[in-house]
Amino acid sequence: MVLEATVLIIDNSEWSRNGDYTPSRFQAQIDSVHYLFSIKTNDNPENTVGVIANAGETPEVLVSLTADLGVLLKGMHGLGVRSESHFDTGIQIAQLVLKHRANKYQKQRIIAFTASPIGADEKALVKLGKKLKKNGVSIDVVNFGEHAANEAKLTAFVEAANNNESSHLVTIPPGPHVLSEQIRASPIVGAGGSGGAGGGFDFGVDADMDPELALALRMSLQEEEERQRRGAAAQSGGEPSGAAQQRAGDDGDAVMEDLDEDEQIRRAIQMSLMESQQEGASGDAMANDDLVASLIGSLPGVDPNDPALQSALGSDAAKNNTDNSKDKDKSDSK
Amino acid sequence: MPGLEIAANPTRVVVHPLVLLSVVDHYNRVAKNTKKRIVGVLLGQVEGNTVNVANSFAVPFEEDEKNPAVWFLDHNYVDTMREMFKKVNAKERLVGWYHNGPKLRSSDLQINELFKKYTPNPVLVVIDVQPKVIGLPTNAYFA
Repeated sequence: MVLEATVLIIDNSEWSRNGDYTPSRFQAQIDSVHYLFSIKTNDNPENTVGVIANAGETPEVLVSLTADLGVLLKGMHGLGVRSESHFDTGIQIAQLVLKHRANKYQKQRIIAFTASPIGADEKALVKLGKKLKKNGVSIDVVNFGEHAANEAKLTAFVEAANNNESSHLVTIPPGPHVLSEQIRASPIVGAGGSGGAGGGFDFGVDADMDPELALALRMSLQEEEERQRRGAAAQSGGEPSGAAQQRAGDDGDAVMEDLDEDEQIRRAIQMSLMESQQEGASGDAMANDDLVASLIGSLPGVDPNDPALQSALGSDAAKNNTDNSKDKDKSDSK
Repeated sequence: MPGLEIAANPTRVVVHPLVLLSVVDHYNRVAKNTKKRIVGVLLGQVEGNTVNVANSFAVPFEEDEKNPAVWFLDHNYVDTMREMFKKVNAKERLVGWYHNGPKLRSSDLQINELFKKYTPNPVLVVIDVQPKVIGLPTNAYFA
């Protein structure tokens, strides 16, 4: 939850036309910009992000520091690939942008992408890095495209600018992977950076894209946990009933802690199913059938009264029961 | 409609006293005892070949003295201020920009390119805030 102002510098020089990253280096950067923007603004609603395009006659500030996605999109609209990139000038302009941030309490960070050979020499870069350190600006560099050529210079640069592990150099070799996925895995977002594991992508897709889906996933997870808890509680409550199979299960209960979590969950589910079968209530089984029937009924073009369907459902339910008892036998004999 | 045409090549630029006062005030507030340059936006109307500059406002501007290619002008600020000014005076449009020079600099061309997004032919007025000679403190240019 770091309060931060971030400036993203993208390399839209002619070198970015290259398609060695999907779909092209340039498009991969645009994609990453959107991704990083949402990461930063989700992390802390007061974070602001700006974008500078490095190439052309001089680096151009496309978007001033903002927390508004609309402003970001408007600024990046119509951005094209052209001419050569000016890495060091871009960094200096980014510094000026950060100097003019509205909220002085925000920390300063630059995330720079480079896809072309850097013109500046190592000495100048080291000097620039020291200046960044002096001004308290953290910098992350995503080195892709011409990474071999730039490796040495960028390492020296990030070393000079690094202050307490806040600056990183991430080198991404070409391949079929998506650039933004690689960034997610890197220290820019995640343990080291300000993204954090809960960058909003708990289930692979979350509040950003599909809030209802996220809510549904979360609720089903909670329900599952409750069911397991109920299963374990029902099992420990059923100890005095003294049925043979249950006793065997009880011995298993005593060493429950020794088993790992997955095993425990599986045993709990099996025990709860087994218990319901023994009591003859088979409430679960019936509930399942009703649920399945209603689901099928809601499918378009399917007639729930179709005899073929009924027999299929009936055989499925019987098959499930035999499977469960087989599993239980297996686990008892362990 | 008068005032809405942009002059192809303006031959006269009329600067109202309010603008001069604003610029000097801006300078005194921000850069009085420094070597920094101040930059701002000019608002007004274009009538035929004359540009009538009636109002102005300052913008956050920063540059590196040693490297003229490094400069930053907050154009989101310009956008927002323009929208707000339209509410109080729709006829006043962005006609150009100013800085306090005292001379032209190499980055001026690039800054001019930025202003071309707002008006096709922006006028640059260099206003000398500390004139040594009594006379018109302004010099106007267009690209």
